[in-house]
Amino acid sequence: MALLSIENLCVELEGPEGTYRLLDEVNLLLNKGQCLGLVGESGCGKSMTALAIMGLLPQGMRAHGSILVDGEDLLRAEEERLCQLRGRKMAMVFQEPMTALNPVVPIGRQVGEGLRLHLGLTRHESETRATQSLARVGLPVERFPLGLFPHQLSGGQRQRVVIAMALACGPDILVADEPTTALDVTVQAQILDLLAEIIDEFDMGLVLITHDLGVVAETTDTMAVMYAGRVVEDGPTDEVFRRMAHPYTRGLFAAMPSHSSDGAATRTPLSTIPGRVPDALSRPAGCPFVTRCGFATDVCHQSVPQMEALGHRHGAACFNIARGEVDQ
Amino acid sequence: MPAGSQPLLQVEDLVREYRLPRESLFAPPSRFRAVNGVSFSVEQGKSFGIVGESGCGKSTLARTVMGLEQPVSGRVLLEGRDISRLPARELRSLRRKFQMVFQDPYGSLDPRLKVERIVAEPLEVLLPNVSRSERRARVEETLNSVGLKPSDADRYPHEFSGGQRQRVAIARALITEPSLIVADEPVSALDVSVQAQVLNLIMDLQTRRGLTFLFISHDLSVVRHITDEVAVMYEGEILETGPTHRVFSDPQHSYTKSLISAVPYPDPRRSRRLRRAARPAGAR
Ligand SMILES: Nc1ncnc2c1ncn2[C@@H]1O[C@H](COP(=O)(O)OP(=O)(O)O)[C@@H](O)[C@H]1O
Ligand SMILES: Nc1ncnc2c1ncn2[C@@H]1O[C@H](COP(=O)(O)OP(=O)(O)O)[C@@H](O)[C@H]1O
Ligand SMILES: [Mg+2]
Ligand SMILES: [Mg+2]
Repeated sequence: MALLSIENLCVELEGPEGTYRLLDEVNLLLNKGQCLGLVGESGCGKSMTALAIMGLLPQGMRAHGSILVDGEDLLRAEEERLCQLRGRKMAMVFQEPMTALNPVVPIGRQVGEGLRLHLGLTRHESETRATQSLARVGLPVERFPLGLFPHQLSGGQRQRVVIAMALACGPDILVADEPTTALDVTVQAQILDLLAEIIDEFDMGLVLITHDLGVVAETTDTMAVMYAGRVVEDGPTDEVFRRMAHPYTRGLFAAMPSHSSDGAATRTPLSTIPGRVPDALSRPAGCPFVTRCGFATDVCHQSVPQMEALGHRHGAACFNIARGEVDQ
Repeated sequence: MPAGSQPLLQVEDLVREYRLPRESLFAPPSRFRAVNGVSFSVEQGKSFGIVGESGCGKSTLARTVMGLEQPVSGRVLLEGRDISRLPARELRSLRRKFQMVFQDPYGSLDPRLKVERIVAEPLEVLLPNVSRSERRARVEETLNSVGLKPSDADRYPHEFSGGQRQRVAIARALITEPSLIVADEPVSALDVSVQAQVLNLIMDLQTRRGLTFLFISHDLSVVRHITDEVAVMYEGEILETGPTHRVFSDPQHSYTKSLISAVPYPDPRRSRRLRRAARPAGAR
């Protein structure tokens, strides 16, 4: 059984101008010891998916479908049950470490809080565990005493504290929403190394949200490309990169500045994806990508393409998969 | 020196310090050197990149080059003239020749003003005698040159997407027909698809108008793609500089090497981050 299985997840919000469908029939699968990457431009629904997994959707949003964690459907769980699960079953790391940290509480207390709350540990026990957690993320107590405040740490060190908080209660699933976007590239590499080690060591599942295809390629086992609230391509990361069946996946890849090792490609025009992601109320009829797609045909304007199997666990939602496809 | 052989921008041994909060009543407050003896020069029509991690002094360098902050020592020469030693009137007329574009397409545009006012603002300061109709014509022409519509002049910043706002910011920088644009992280807040549009515009302006760019970014791939020469900064100093393709393909300094090797490479077959499944038995 998969550790996390999301089936036909829809998230809707009633607005003055109608119903916004922020997530539309999202299907995702995550196994133990694996990392699932979610990519796509901003506004495609990545954070909304993360919040749904955490049972933290904002007030007023309706969700249907199912989010199964070890077989238990979070969408049917009471808030009380979700509180028990949060931290112990699934934990989250956000982009901006300062949003997750309280600036006036020492780091040791912040890491220990979940332990006292969830596991009922005493102050002393929770301090011992917090010390271990912080050491595991590369903040040994000799140099980083529990009494330090967040502002006394660098951005990368703060993100380590947030990861220690997330790990403290031994969750099975870690959801990391752009955990390195605010960090320097060398620090990003360290944090991604740390996350990869941790999921191996504790046999956890990691949902890694990023807009960087380089991060996806280097860190994930499977990936899903999201566009306008839908998954438009997913599969094993190496398969998706090899085929890039969906024009949106190819567009994202082609827009990246040169990364060739010979430096020959500099100063050539980059390919772009014209326009921008439509918001939930202005999505076109038919394929959500049709307004920006260079391969659109009549059918794309009329109906919504469904996920089509292309290989072992690899799929894409596009009517014109064969056309323009570059098999690398 | 004959014109033409002289670099458009010369930065010589530039030092910029910030005063730190006073720690003792009896000692003067200590100072922090954010830019510590930086020298480089940029030829007319070229794009010169500054890369480095956050806090290394890139933005401080940009502001000091723009004359927005005063250096402790060193010189900034534009077309051979030292901008910090010019009389106010001459500085004002030189000002139109160098303009700046900032990272944040939200924060850097006044939300209460229409795009026409925003884009025309540098004109009002530098050329107060331009007529209203001429001003409108120049705004429309400039909007056109950055891929916006003349009618966009009548809209407010919030009506634009992030990439379009950055085009507005670039239009504002272009309106005085400068020869140098200092761009501090101009695409860092944008999605990759929109970033590509803005980078193409910048490359196009350089080719078509012969504009010179000082392009500052923490993103190595972006700098590698669009600059001719690059300087790698660390703790206020330039560690390595040279033609971009050379610095990236054959970095000399160990810091440059570590920066380049940390950039994630978008090919799973070359993944550095070996996961358990792929790791040889016995490895931790
Ligand atoms: N609290 C909210 N209320 C209404 N709409 C929201 C809210 N948060 C996000 N959205 C909308 O939901 C969509 C998906 O957003 P999000 O999941 O944050 O995207 P991503 O993380 O991929 O950038 C966007 O169109 C966004 O405008
Ligand atoms: N106004 C200021 N007062 C004091 N220190 C400053 C000020 N502006 C920047 N600094 C410091 O100078 C250093 C360089 O900052 P900055 O130029 O913004 O770096 P970068 O743009 O490379 O991230 C940092 O350590 C920063 O904290
Ligand atoms: Mg998000
Ligand atoms: Mg800066």
